Amino acid sequence: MLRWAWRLARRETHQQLLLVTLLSLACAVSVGGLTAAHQLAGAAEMSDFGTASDVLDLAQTDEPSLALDVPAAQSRFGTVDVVRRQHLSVPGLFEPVELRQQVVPGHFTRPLVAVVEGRLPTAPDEVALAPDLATILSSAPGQDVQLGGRDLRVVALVENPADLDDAFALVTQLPGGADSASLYVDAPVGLAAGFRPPSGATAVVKTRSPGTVSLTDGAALVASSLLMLLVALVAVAAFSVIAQRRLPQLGLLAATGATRRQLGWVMTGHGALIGSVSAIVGAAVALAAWPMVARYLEPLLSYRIDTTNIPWLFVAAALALTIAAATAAASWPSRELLALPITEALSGRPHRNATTTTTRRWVAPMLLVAGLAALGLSGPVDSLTSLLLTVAGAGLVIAATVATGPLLIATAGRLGASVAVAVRLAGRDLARYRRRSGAALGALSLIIGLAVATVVTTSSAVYAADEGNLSDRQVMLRVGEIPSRGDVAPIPERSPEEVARLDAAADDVAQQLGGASVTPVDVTVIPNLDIAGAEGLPVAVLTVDEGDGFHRIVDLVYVASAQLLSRYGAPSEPGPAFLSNRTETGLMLEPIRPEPVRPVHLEGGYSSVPGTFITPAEVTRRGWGTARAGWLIEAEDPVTADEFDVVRGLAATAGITAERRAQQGNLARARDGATAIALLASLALVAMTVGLMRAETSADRRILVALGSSRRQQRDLAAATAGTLALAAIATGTGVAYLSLLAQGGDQLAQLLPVPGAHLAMLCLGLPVVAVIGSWVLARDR
Amino acid sequence: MSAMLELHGVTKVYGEGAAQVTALRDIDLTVRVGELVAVMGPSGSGKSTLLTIAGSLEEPTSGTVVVNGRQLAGMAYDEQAHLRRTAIGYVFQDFNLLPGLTAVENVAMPLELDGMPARRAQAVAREALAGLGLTERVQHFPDDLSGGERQRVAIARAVVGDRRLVLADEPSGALDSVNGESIIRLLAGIAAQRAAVVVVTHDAKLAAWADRVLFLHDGRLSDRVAAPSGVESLLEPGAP
Repeated sequence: MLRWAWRLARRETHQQLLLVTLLSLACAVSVGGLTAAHQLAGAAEMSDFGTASDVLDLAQTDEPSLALDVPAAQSRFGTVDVVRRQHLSVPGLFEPVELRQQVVPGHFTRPLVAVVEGRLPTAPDEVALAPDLATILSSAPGQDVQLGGRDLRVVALVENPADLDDAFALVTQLPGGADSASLYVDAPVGLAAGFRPPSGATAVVKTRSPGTVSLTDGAALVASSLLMLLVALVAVAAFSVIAQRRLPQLGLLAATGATRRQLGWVMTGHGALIGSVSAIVGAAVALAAWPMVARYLEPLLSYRIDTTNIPWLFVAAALALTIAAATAAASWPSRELLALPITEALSGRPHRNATTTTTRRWVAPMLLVAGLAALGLSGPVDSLTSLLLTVAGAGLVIAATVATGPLLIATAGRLGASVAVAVRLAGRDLARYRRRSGAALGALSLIIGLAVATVVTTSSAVYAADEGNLSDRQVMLRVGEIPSRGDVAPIPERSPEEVARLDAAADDVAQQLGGASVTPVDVTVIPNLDIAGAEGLPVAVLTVDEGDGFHRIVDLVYVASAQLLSRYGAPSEPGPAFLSNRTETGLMLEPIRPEPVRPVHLEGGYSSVPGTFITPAEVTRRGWGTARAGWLIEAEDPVTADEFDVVRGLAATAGITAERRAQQGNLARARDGATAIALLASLALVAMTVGLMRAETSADRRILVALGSSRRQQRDLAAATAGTLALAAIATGTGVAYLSLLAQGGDQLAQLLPVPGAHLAMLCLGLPVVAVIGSWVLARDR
Repeated sequence: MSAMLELHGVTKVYGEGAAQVTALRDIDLTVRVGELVAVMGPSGSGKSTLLTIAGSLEEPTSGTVVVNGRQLAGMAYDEQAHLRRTAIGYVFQDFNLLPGLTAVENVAMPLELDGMPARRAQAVAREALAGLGLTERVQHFPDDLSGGERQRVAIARAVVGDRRLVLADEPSGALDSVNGESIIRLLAGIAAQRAAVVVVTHDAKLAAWADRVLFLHDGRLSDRVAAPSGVESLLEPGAP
């Protein structure tokens, strides 16, 4: 049988090349995707743990405490890698700079530091900078940089290979001592969690989760399987064409005594052969291109990829998926062809079109209803049950989408005399070759559905105009980041002259934005409260109890002003002493002692605009004070990127930070990418399907020529075929995607209402228009 | 009667060099409305090529073809297509009906391609089918029709509208003798009423129905016989 399959495989070169190209490409994408996902999952773990099993984070500590805690950890766990950190505010930077002191190379932290250029610092006045930080500080090896009030000589550029976004400065000695530290240890399961630092500091223990990597790998495998399902659906069409053309040869084999099982093996063997060739070609291409692709992926993944670390098990899985997809696709059309009488097979022209099938109409709706029900019951994926329901629901919906294709095709085949002859003929042709056109339509619908789901969900995740950190007309200036450590957030003391200088700088910024309004923002400070390790005045904060005695700051307490309160529709002189837009329960006022408070609720507000207030009268009553923390600048028009560059420069000169509305570029890129990929993939698929259909119906087209059809009418037929496929796919894909999203988030319908018009128009209008025009233009006359 | 088809010095050569084959050599032929002409000859003699060139589906290597007074040479593709829609009807051995369309839709196709609204075209097609005794089969797909019915649908499609030149390539080749003769009767009737009909056939019995029988051998019209004098004595033309 294999010899027969090989002999048969030597014919229909064009279709087979098309199949091998398609399957090879899918295999290459799978191999690359699985390898990248495996390494990315490993990178996340590596970034957190190095090669340690546990990390003890001491978020609030100092050198005397570490002098007690490190030896205790060493006596308990053996080898301990200590990474000391000091956070410094640098004028013009929103985030503080992290100075890091650690042994390089460490026992567990060896993978977390690598020298890019220069040498490691060896003296207290030397520093090595991460490339991004060097850019921000406008410094380079050989130059000096001022950090923490000291001039340090930059001797190297260093990076964290497991996290290229890790912007840190490596020193041999922290000028002001550590304010936090991490202890990397290798401990038996559960031992690290029981460690209590003798200094009394709170240690947050992170333990490597053995399941993290396999979960990511599993998700990548599911994605690869979905890709192969799509490809298999497309491959069915091509295998159907090949099978149809081989009908006389198969008939001959049957006439010479081959059993149906043997004939079935010939066809599935051919699929396995095509799949094997494609798998080898695809894997070879992927592995050859991997070093180049890895260099391109590194900045996107923020991870230095080890190109020699290939997960061969997953490569083998991708190969197996490719072979399985091709074999399944080849066996699909074989069943009906094998049921034909030998004489009809020998003639190559079966009395009834062998590819016409009856479709059980209830299958697709049943699958869809079951899938939607599962998605509806799943809710948020926060348990194994909901995960299983989500996976089952998604699988059923995908199956329903694929099963809907032949149904719609059958409907298109019943178009009556009221439609144009080209459309009617296209519908009839699609219906006659429903096996291949239905499979292609299923794949098209899936592509469109996935793209629509991506576009809609990323659009719903975009901040509405009244959501996000700031409005597009606002700029928030701050005197500097107020570092929160536990339940303490100190702000440096400033003289009235210094505050006046900063006020003037804020006014300059406002002038640059066309005379924008300036609202000073003050925090409430508690004078004469000495808190160990905190320089400056402690700011009054709202906290919540996280358990184990740990209090998390949820907001700073700002001084209420008429301008700030008006943003929430609150009266300028409120009766209640406390107001807040925070919704947590169990809010407490700190840091003197946790004092339960129930602020009057304020609705909405941007996340970076002050949202928790205390009235000036209450500040006076408690004997507290105020300190200038920033300025809210509000322009008449949206602040452009160029304007913000100027603002940032002014702020840096004055030693203050500037923040504007987050652009959420990743969501926009995801939307654009999904739309572009779906359009390109769909157009390629439509072109391929129309090409196959035209090849299959070439005899019919010759009849039409004999009947006097013009060139335009022949082109109309190709265009109508492409348009019918595209419209059916859009109807199915968009409908199923929206139904699935509605089922899963039924109680949040409003989130789906901001319809991403431009992207949906590109898909729903662009695809049919381009498909129709492209097919019309590219259709050959004879 | 006016000449519906004229071929003057038509030669058709396929291939080049050693692979060159001359399918037709210097053919002259005129067929008038009301005439049924049979073309006979062995396989590979060029009979089908003669029909495809006469029907504007192929261009001759040399010579001229005139259909309904219009010379095909130099005619644009769409002009030729218009001529096929309005003046020329084909009947093929294997029927060549569009399997996705019903009988009435197949017959209406040339009219629809010519711009006639679908409903009107189908009404005309129904009449044509009724004239051939297929009233009950108009909504059937080709796969549901017998061989004889399919060929009658093909004939209806060839003559629907006002087409005056019918080219039939072995119209009875796929049929039994009874159905074959029924088909040739139809074609003879159509010729007698309003058209010029050229039939390519191997079957001398059917050729006997023709007004003229032409023999093609190695691409040449080697003999011309005016029925019934040539074959009548042998084949008893018109016998049921």
